[in-house]
Amino acid sequence: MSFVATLILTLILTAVPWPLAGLGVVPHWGFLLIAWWGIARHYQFSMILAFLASIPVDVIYGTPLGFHALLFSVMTYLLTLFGTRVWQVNWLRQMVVIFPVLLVMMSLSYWARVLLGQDAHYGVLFLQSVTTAVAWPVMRSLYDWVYDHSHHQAEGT
Amino acid sequence: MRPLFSQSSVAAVRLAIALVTAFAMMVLDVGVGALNDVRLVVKTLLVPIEAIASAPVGMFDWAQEVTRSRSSLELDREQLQLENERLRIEQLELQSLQAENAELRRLLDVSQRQPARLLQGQVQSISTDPFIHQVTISRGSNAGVEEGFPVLSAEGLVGQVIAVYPHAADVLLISDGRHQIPIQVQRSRIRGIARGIGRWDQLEMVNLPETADIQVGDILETSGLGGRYPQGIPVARVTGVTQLSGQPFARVIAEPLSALNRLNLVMISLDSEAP
Repeated sequence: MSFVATLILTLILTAVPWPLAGLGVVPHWGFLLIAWWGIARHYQFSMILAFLASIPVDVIYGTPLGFHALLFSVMTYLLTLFGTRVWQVNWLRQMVVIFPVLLVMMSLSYWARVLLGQDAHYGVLFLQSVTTAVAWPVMRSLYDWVYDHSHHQAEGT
Repeated sequence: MRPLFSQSSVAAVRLAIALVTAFAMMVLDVGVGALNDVRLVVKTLLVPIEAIASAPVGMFDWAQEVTRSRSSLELDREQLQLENERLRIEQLELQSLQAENAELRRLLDVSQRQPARLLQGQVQSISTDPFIHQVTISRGSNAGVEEGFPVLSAEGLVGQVIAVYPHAADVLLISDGRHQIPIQVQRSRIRGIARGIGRWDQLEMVNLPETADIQVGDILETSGLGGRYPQGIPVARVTGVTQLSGQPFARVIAEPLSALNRLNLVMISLDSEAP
């Protein structure tokens, strides 16, 4: 229930029609969802959930099915290695840890896009990693709120 | 008791399985198109989410519309009346040319061209991925839309339908890096291929000899080769021709005639085969 609620929030943000000229600076909300679950609720999260979350993200972005499954799976794996320790530190340090993970994800994304014949530019992906990392503190609080809200509602019913 | 497999090795095995599955899905989706049904189901489930996501923009547009001043509306009305007059004159000229063309074709014993059947649609959403130039339109298989149908705007070619759902369809725009169109220069009839380069305002003509008769301002239109697009749909205007020293080919850049980043109403041509 909580996962679905956070996923819906992520999908809404992903589908918002941002101005086309600024698409390169819009954070990748999907990565933030995986980061939050991998760090804050790692004991309730699995690669299967990451895989399932990737399918609607692919449909909204228009990327081939499986594209985000590849990225989300790798991100989930990386977060299982050290994500549990990151939750204890403050949001600024979390940002510092998440940023290199995002860079790895964007490099993988660039490689996959080139294989798929897209005209990808690494500079845009780098910029997107920066804005995604910057959006972390806000999204972290938002996901906390959505999780608590949906969790309490589920318990109440 | 010590577990047989450590936590990290279990995670690595899961990752390996996930990666293999993800690659298999991409191959099935891009190479074979075997996951169209999955996409259709998910797309249908996402309709309310996309509606919520675009609601603020819709409300903003509506608020802008209702707060427009009377003088601004009158100015618009005047401009539309002028536009209407111009179009009516152009239509008369077109009718005369069509009759003349039909007569010449009859004299030369050439088969008549059938007028294209067009269906109007509205752009519902635009892909928010910075490298994918794709829109979803409001017409789908229920309205007779099929994969491969050309999509046009009032100015020219927009793209082609790449996925069809019952009430919507995905359109790959001509500016997308994966899109190529057989075109010809309207003035000199030189043929070539125009490809998207991932920019909303630019297409590139590839493999055009440096001696080719092409200049800035030329209009590029579909050549009809390949059978995907009917012949004669305007595509782009040439904005730059560069002769590269030591290279056998010229670099030709063109600007799409349709404002691809501001699409709202589009028309789907229900005839994908060249006449």
